[in-house]
Amino acid sequence: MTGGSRGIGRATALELTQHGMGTVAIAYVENETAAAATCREIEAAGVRAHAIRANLGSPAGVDQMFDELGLVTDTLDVLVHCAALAAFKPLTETRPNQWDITMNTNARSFLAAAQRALPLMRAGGCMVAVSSLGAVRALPHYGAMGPTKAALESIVRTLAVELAPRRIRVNAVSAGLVSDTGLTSLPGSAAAVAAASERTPLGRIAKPGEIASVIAFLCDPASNWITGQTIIADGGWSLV
Amino acid sequence: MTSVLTFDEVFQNLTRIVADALRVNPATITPDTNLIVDLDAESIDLVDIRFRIEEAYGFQIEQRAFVTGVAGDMPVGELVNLITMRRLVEFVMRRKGEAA
Repeated sequence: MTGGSRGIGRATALELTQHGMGTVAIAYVENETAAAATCREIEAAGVRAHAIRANLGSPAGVDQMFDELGLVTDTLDVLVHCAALAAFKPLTETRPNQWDITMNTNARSFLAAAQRALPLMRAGGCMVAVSSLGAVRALPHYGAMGPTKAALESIVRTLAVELAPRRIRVNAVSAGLVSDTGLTSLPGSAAAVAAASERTPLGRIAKPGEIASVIAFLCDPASNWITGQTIIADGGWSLV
Repeated sequence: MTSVLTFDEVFQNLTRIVADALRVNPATITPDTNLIVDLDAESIDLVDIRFRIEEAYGFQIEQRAFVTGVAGDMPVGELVNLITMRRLVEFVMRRKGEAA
């Protein structure tokens, strides 16, 4: 679980403890305290937990994550990619380094992680990436992020076809606004939440657990005929 | 034997890192250059620079350690006045000294 210490990643890590996992490993880069707390919650559910600090924006960081993972397991059933770095700004104002760090962290790292995961993954393995509606829509202040999520969804489709002969499924979940600490720390977040809630047919923004349950479904044999898809979980926001 | 980094050595290295990240002329950067006020660095740029420093110096810097290490106990609202090259250099020298 990349980006596993907080938000959707944390919620998914906890959800997966209910799906027969022997060990849940979470990767994080910013918040050691949150990662430790999530590990304690995983262990409280009776599942082994392991936290790895890794900067996935560089290939070396992905290698380091898998090198550390190799110390605790030699098989991988599920890879979930929640890690993301955000630069909320128009695309026309996005600088080259901002493009690089967001694209590398959000999209390239999933490909690198998938490549490293393959030797550990058997038939029945699953990969899930967390995308957003900005992959297919021009959202305000999302210009630097949208292309990274579009790339992520494209990687998902191609990997799904390439890995289908190995019976490994690859999917994405696309969410709208999700209530977590990352959102509330942003300037203007209250107005954004109010506007999104107003527009959403179900009348509010998502809770992390509601996205986590979709991810967990895509990791479960119950979804074994779904691959290469981006499942939209947005309370109907994209319908209106 | 561990060599001691001088202020000038670290400043030159950090100037290269910051100039590469923000695509500015390194000749315009002085110890008193403020990354946010003078170079228009945004929060994502500070993350980028932090990761580049980690890679260059071989130690990990968490966001909280970076902020408190550079800014001390100052309120977050005053950080904008504190992210200078001088403070960045002093932070790296301190962390490198701790790691030695």
